[in-house]
Amino acid sequence: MENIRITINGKDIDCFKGETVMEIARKNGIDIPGICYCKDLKPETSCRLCLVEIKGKDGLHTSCDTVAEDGMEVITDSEDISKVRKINLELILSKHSKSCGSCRRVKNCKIVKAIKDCGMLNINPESSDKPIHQFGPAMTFDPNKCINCNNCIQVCNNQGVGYLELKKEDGFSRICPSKTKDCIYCGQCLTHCPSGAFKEVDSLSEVEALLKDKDNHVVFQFSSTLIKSIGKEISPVWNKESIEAFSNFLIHLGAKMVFDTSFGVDMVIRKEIKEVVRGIEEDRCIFTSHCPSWIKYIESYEPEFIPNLSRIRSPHIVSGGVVKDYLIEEQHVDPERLFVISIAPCISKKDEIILEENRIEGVRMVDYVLTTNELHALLKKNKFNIDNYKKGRKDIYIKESHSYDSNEEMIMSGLSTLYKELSGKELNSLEFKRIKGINGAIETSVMIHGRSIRLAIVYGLEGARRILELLKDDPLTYQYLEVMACPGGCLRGGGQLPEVGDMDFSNNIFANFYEDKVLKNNNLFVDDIIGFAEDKDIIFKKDGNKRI
Amino acid sequence: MDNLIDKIKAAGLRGRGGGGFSVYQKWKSVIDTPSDKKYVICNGAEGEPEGFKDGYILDNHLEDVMNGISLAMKEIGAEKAYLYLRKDYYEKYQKAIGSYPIEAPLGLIRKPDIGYIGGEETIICQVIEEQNLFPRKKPPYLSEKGLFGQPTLINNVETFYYVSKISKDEYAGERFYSISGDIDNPGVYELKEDDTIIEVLKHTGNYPDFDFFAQVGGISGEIFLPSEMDKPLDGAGFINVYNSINVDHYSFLERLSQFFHEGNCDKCTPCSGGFYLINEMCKKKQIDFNKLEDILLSLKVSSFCALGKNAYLPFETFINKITKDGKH
Ligand code: SF4
Ligand code: SF4
Ligand code: SF4
Ligand code: SF4
Ligand code: FES
Repeated sequence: MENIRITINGKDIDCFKGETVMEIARKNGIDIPGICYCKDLKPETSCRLCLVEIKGKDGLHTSCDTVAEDGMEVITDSEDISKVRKINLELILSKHSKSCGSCRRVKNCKIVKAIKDCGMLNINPESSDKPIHQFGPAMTFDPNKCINCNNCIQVCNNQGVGYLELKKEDGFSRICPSKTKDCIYCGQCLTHCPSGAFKEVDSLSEVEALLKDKDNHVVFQFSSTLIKSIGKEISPVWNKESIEAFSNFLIHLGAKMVFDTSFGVDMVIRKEIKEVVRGIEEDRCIFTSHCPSWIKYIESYEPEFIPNLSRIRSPHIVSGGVVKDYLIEEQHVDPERLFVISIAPCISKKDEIILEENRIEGVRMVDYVLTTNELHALLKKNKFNIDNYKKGRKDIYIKESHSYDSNEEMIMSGLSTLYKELSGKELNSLEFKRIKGINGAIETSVMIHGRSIRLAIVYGLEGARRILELLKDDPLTYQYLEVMACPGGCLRGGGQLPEVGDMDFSNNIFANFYEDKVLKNNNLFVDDIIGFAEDKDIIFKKDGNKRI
Repeated sequence: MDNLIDKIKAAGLRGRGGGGFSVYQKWKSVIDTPSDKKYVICNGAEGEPEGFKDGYILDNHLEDVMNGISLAMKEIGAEKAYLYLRKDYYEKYQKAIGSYPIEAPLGLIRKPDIGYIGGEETIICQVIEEQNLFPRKKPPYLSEKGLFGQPTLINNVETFYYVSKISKDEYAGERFYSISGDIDNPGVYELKEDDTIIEVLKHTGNYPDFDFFAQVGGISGEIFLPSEMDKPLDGAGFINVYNSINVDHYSFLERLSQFFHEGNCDKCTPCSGGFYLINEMCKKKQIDFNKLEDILLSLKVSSFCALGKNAYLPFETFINKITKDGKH
């Protein structure tokens, strides 16, 4: 990268060619307000708040899409700039019905931040009451909050879905759900929306009601890694102690049991081999079915690949089903009173749990899904304080050994199981490399009995579509494909907490997640239920993948 | 002199879409940008609320327009040309255009129903490429990176007509004027480019015998008092005359803001939110002039594309010149 030098507010700053003025300013601790900018999107430049002056150029310029040139002289604050910013912010606010009280964003809200940054005093938002759109059982969209930044359209188009469209209404372009397409509930629109217009369908009130009735047998499950974004709300470090304290808190609220979704992963991985073998026999690449948005995408937009989808249910469904079965049969819990609740960073799971294919005899294997956002609301309401919940470890079944730190680790563990099963040998090392020209995609291969098994992992549907293209040309390009619909995987899922500023898509904030990786043998109980699952109809979908 | 581009240069032809950019320079820049693929676009979006002139030219001189496009393609070595027409023109001339033999392929594109912004040149590229309907950032200019990322020449219907005239040595500095409003002989006239606005009105029998003002250069054009009309028209060839006594100031501003409110793309805050707010204030007949001035300032310095950047002008000049005591 070529080095260049610019000045910002009279200060010399070394930077790279190609960087935007906003990036450079922020790196150097100079804050420029801006509402619509998202690190992983092309700048929509709609809010017009990130204005700067550039010497020698008329007017004001949006710093989020202005690429620095050597010798550029930038001013980020002046009377003119702050005047126009205020005018524009006022116009933005006139579109945004203020309902901060019930808004998921309020704590990390870019609009609230801009109001502070711009020193706005009087805010008189217009009240409007356009009807709220319902996106299936997963999400809602409130047009009264929308400020027309168009981020959601861009991100939904990137996903290859295009569910969000613009429609002119009374002279305004409004975001409207498509009449002809399906939403896959990945929730990327929600995480990229600065105005809090999208919201997950609320399950919290129902879960709270369940917990209040002491005759109910409420069981929580979560993957402690994937909800790590909640960690800092719980304690400065998200480690074994804080996870335990958090689990104690759930027990205190009335849960009978808390366990780790990773057990579901273990169960699923053992069976996945069957599917891969099926794929090899049928000359078909097998797609893992862990991500419900991916399944919905295939079913809605690439139905020719439905036979490629693994018929295995997703881990939390399996573990939910197994625990339910076990508790009913072995501990005689009243099925009517037994509820399994998954906490996940995922919006799509709210749809997944009600699908016919994920029920047994009509009964849901998981009853409710709470997103990380809803969990946050729960903690807030109860004024969670870690110190009150440090003691005790009863009815908590959290894995400390190999809670899968990422989707990659999970799939790698699957691959080594597969390798061992087919070749009888241990798989010592696996080297992943990036797939050239495809974003968020890695691949690896292993030789088993002289046959090369190629595997790819892709985050985000933009890359996944490219892999599908390859498979259309040659169905044997890969034998095993894991797709997580959200760019960045579940760690960037639609149910994660929105973060102020920019989303960081490198996953390193999740690295070294467990402070101690002490291997402890898990409870006999867990081994029991895993064994219990073996002969049950819980892991495989009875009729394969078919939406009803 | 045989070479068309030199003839255009000698004629000093300027684009008739409103920008008034030198046609020679535009063509030259497309020619000088290396690429194996180049495109020509003829813009027939004509989005003015009052009057028309490209429609008139298509009606009477379609052959010359087609000839102009054809010549441009040859001159710049274009792979394909597109003729982009607003809905009614598209329907009217679709057949006739199809019957013109033109050497290279010609795509006929119907302007989508998106109002005034549908005539903006980068949006036209977006339409042809079937992308979202928002303008693109400039630079890069279309002559360097236009349709499908390739050097693209875009001119409007009238410009291509005069290119054809120039090639036949029949051009003597004329342009078309669409005249409308409180006048006796509304219509489209072909007159000298350097006629003053007063002369244009007089030659066409349209010079009012009452107190009047005019919006000149189209809907984004400036408001002129008669004393300011002793100069040639700059911008698009539209003159809309108003009787100063009859004009209701609120309805004038309401109509103007309504037009821009409905005709912008809603991409950016000052334009999307600004025109709406101005329109609301006008409708309620409660104009907060400080707020209005603020919005006009923001439009001028912070909107994304030329629509917003230019549209402050009729408001500002109307307020300053016509509503002299407007602050009440
Ligand atoms: S949830 Fe995903 S598919 Fe649905 S509208 Fe949002 S981005 Fe598009
Ligand atoms: S819904 Fe949100 S992301 Fe979409 S345009 Fe409105 S403010 Fe932007
Ligand atoms: S990637 Fe994860 S969070 Fe996103 S839809 Fe799939 S399972 Fe849910
Ligand atoms: S100024 Fe902004 S809102 Fe107005 S037309 Fe241009 S891009 Fe669209
Ligand atoms: S225009 Fe740059 S952040 Fe919105």
